[in-house]
Amino acid sequence: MIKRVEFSKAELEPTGEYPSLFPGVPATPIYNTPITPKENYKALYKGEKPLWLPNYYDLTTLCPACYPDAIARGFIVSAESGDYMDDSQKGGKDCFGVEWVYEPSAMGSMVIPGKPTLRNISEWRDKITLPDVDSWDWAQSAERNKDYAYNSPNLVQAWIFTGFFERLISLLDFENAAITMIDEEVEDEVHDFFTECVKIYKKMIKHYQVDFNADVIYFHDDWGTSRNSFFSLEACRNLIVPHLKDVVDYAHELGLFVELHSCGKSGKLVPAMIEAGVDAWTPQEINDFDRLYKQFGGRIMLGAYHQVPMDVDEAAAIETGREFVKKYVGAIPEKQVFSGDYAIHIKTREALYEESRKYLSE
Amino acid sequence: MSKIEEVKAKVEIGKTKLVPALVQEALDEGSTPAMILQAMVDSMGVVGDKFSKGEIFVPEMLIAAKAMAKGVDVLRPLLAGDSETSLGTCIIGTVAGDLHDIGKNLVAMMIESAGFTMVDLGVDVPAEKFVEAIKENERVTLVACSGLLTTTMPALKEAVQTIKAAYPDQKVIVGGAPVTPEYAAEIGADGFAPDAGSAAVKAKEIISV
Repeated sequence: MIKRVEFSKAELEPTGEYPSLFPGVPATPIYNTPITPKENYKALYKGEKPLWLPNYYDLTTLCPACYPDAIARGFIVSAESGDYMDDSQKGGKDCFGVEWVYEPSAMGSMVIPGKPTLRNISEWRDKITLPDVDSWDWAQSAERNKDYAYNSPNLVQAWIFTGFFERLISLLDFENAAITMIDEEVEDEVHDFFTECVKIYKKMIKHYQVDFNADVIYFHDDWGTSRNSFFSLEACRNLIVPHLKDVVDYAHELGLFVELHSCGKSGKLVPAMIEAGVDAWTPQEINDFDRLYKQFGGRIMLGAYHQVPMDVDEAAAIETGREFVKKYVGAIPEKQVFSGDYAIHIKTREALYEESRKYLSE
Repeated sequence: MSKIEEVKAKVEIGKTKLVPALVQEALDEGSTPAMILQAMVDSMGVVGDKFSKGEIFVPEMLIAAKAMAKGVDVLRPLLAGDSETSLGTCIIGTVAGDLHDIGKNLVAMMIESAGFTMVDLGVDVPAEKFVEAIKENERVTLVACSGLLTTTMPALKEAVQTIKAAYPDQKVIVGGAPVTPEYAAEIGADGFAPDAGSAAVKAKEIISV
């Protein structure tokens, strides 16, 4: 349990600065917090009362260059990021040997459609070479990221790209991947393939823990469109949940938490996330957050957005932070919520910190 | 339940293995190919409607479309040259600079299931290629242009305007995540659909069926 410490204005005096993370988002101060953001964030994950409401700046995102999918998908976020500033270096083969093309305008990669590696998932044993995770250069990435990740005072959130459904899409193209989710004839093959995927994910989790001192596994598997989930809760429970649970249980055994990154309107699948033991999910803005919070709050930690534009005036930015605290902090730790916005107005962040510090120090 | 009703029911739930035999049995029972085709088109109308309402999901819609395609394979030799059963040709493609094909493929399947003959130009299709395809194919009643990226919306506009400049009466439907009905109207498209289910309905509406 974290000892309660009364808020002092001196905590807002910067001890440094977080660099700008996205175009249009200014650098933001590092506060003089009484405990580290890592300790604070972990308290919330454990269901304890933190000292303040965590936000994106309390996190260190880790997607190291030794992970082939990070380069293939054009998302190297680590101390090695500077080596990959040129978009032409992004894309290429992922850890299963599937070729991705980086699309600068989308700031992400995609597999060129129409030439899938597999026509049917039952071909996976013959046509795929499973990745040898331990052969990746974890040692070099770990060395480069000692300060960025291992010794970070922030919560280190390590990415696993290409979760179960995304892996099917990358290998089969979308239509076949979608049909595979309900095709009884290949169900056993899917389970066998996902069992192998779990082994790969577990090896990665172990490396993230040992080499990078990671706290959270950020498991990337998009499950929805802008209008609905890709597949039904029943399909998800049948094919994905048992394997995702295996991954989550392993992370928990090692003392790590799991946040599911799943874009789309996937509210219908939250019961599946909960059954798999997932600790946190940040629903995209297209979801009805208030309804999800009411229905599932307390059973899964939710990242909420405050959605204030970066160019809003100071008074409005402060009010946004205060309103956010007022809305969610009273129910913490019973209903865990954190601020999920990637881009936070400096004054909103300040208000989030100060108001939640005052409230949570009681 | 008559065989044609069975065909309808099995297409709706995507029984790809059962549908071909049932189509044959419906033919043997005396139903005409046109009647069976219409029954399957009706089924897909139900599927599209359920998808639009969020009652079923992408896999269920896809597998129903596949089941219908299997049924159409049985009917095809009997329907050859029967233009009355086709709503004409629909040219479809994702516009230049955009490699996304998921939405486009779903729309293609649903429009085909509504009774169109599809010509899929794929992804990253330059505006001129749509025009060439109209020239090269018979009875093109509809062109469907897809764009997923906000950055390729100008390419969507260029595609529609190039098609309209060459063929002013050609009906064009547009869609994709960033596209709104207002934008569709602004660039001169004849219609917009927010999802694959409603695209099939809109396609028929546009060509006034």
